[in-house]
Amino acid sequence: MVKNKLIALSLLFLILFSGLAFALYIQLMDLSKPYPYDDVILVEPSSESVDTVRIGVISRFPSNILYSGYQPLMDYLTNQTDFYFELIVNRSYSETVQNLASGKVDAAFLGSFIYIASRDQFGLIPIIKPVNQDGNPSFRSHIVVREDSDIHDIADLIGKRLALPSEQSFSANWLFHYGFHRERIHIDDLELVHHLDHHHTVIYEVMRGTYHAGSVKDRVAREFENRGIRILASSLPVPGSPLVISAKTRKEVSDAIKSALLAIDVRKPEYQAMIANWDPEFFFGFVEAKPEDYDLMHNRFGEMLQP
Amino acid sequence: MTRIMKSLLSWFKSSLRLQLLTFIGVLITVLMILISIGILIQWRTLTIQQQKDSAKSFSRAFSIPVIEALINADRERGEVLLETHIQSFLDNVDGINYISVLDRNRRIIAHSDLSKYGMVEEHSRYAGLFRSSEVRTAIFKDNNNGWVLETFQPLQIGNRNWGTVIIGFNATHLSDKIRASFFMMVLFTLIAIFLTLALLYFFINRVTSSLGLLLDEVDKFDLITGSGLDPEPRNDEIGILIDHFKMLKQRLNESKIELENAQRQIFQAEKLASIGRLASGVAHEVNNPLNGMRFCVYSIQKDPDNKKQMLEYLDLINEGLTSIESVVSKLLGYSRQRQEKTEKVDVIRQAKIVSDLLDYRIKKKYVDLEITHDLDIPDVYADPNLFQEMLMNLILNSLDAVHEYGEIKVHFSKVSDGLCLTVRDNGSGIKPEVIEKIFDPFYSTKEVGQGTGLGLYVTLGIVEAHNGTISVNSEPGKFTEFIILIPSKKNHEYSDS
Repeated sequence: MVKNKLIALSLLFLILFSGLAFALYIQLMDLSKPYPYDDVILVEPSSESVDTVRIGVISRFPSNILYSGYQPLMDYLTNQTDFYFELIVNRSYSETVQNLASGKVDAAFLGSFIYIASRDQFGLIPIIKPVNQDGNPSFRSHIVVREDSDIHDIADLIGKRLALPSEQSFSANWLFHYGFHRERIHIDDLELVHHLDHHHTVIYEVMRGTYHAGSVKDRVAREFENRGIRILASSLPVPGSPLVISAKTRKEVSDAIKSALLAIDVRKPEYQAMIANWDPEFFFGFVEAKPEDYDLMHNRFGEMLQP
Repeated sequence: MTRIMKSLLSWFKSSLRLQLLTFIGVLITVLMILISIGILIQWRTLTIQQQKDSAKSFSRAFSIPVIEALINADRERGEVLLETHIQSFLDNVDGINYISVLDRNRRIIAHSDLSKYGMVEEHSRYAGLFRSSEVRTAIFKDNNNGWVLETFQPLQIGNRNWGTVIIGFNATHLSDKIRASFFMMVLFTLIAIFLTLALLYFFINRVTSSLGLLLDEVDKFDLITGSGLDPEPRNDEIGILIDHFKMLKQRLNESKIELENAQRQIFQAEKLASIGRLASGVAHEVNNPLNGMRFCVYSIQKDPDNKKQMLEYLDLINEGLTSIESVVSKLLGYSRQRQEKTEKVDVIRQAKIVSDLLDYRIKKKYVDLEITHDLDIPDVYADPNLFQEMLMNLILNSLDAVHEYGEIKVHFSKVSDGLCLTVRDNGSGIKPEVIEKIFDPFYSTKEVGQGTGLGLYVTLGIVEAHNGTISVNSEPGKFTEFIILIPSKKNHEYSDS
């Protein structure tokens, strides 16, 4: 009797189980999931509708990386001013200077060395310069070697291969003016001197052993200092790479840029969060730049200046 | 509906094993099904999420060189060889159905299907998405490709947008994977449920069979002899239950012995009480011969030389002594407390003895006691002493009930399974409202000092001790009739023992 009841219950269970399994199967096998619309982020209005300001920058990194570091700054300026800021990437310092002089761009981030080399000829005016981690608006260049290198002095570089960044950068020129001059080393005493496109490339080639030493700006050298790179020698501090305008740049544009960038207070968390995605050169904020800040540098490197 | 529910409930409650199996089985089954469903849903979610994350990674990886190419194209105002990237991606990544690169105006500038070039992407599923800056995913069923996992990757850095990349990944394998997992989980769940229920069935059967064993042993327990209830000792809960039953059995046996002792004492007390009621009759029976004997002794003393008279009177004295001896012997026989014994009883003779003992009281009240019997009355095996006591109690009650010149009829007859004894009187009868109580101990309608209230209670005990039954019919003021049925030997368990 009990067995019959159990059989009846088992059959009932099987029917219920089959029904449940079928419903679950239908539910599970429907993978449809449309695009979500609830969390769509709105894009700011495009350049067509507002006054566009073009900011030039030299392609020191692959375009993706460069845009990742500079586009947020452009977005910030767009949000803080009445202008739409567009980033214009140039292949070289010369191209940037030419664009600035011709009015193709309204302002440009230039290296300190190219600025002092070009300012008189093209009437360029620095308006803003970045602050380093010590709170000073300056930077140094360093000679770096591999940590395990047997080079311990500039004099040891004789007969070695040396990697440098752009010919028109401070890091590519200071060594010949100071270090080699003091040690009475001539460029011909080195086995090879070669200019690479980017500071990071100099580091990677030194690490690969293609070159025995390289010269890079302090931010890049410190980035790799504990990752197999040793600093052999350092330059004196020079004023930081400025944002430069030309005589053709409208005053309201330069005023708007200065006002927006000088308003950044890196001690405040909201600004820290904002600039965390900017180019590391801008992590510590900006100060106003004046042409006379670069006079000393101009005088020292005068004879080398060949824009 | 309620009736169906009630009948189902009744059907369900008819077996403890069924209830246990159903309750625990349903509980385990529901839990296992819920756990399985939970695992399956979680696994499905994780699998889909993993596929989405993977698709997003591929999409991001693809978008980097595309952005680079588009930036460079902007800068150089030159040609863009996006097809190289698309082809390279298609060659190196499995399971891609299509790749589409759109410019900011949704125009297709590169596609794995060359026929799409120049078209504007206006499919409704992308509505609103072109304002997004994040990579999005969607899964849908396509007529040509089956299940498709599609990524919508804006080519964007900050707020700068160069267009969109849409990549369709083949998701049919995802569907196959989920289907296979579903069937595996169903199979696993069924096997697990089956094994669990089988184990449950096995254990519950063990428990209920042990209980059944215990029930068998309890059934074997004989309340009369105290024998039975001796199952094998066990160490589990059933063993504890058996131990307690054994203790209960012991207490029951002790109580039974105490009850029997108490009953025996009651029987004896009631017997002594009835002897007290017989005392006046006995005194009369003894006194009459004594008076005759005194007269004989007086006559012999007066004329000692009359030998003829002396011999005649000595015979009369001897006759008187014999009569006294007979009365005393009957009384002693009735009052003696003896061990219970079962033997073939001559019920007529026992009735005669009781009649003789009550003779004085019967005659004193001029009552007509009539003892009759059928010719073929069956043999009865009983304790003759108890039989006398039973008959004595009934006739004494009748004597108390009848008036002078009343009638008491004792009749023995044969019934199908034994002897039927009927004691009927035409006395005061019993009121209907008290008839239920007359067999209760210490219940009496007589005046204080006239009865113990134990007569009918003892009678009932004797009848039941012989596996018999007693019933009473009465009409107040007219008659009372006690009918006793005592089984013959072969049905008489008490006698056999």
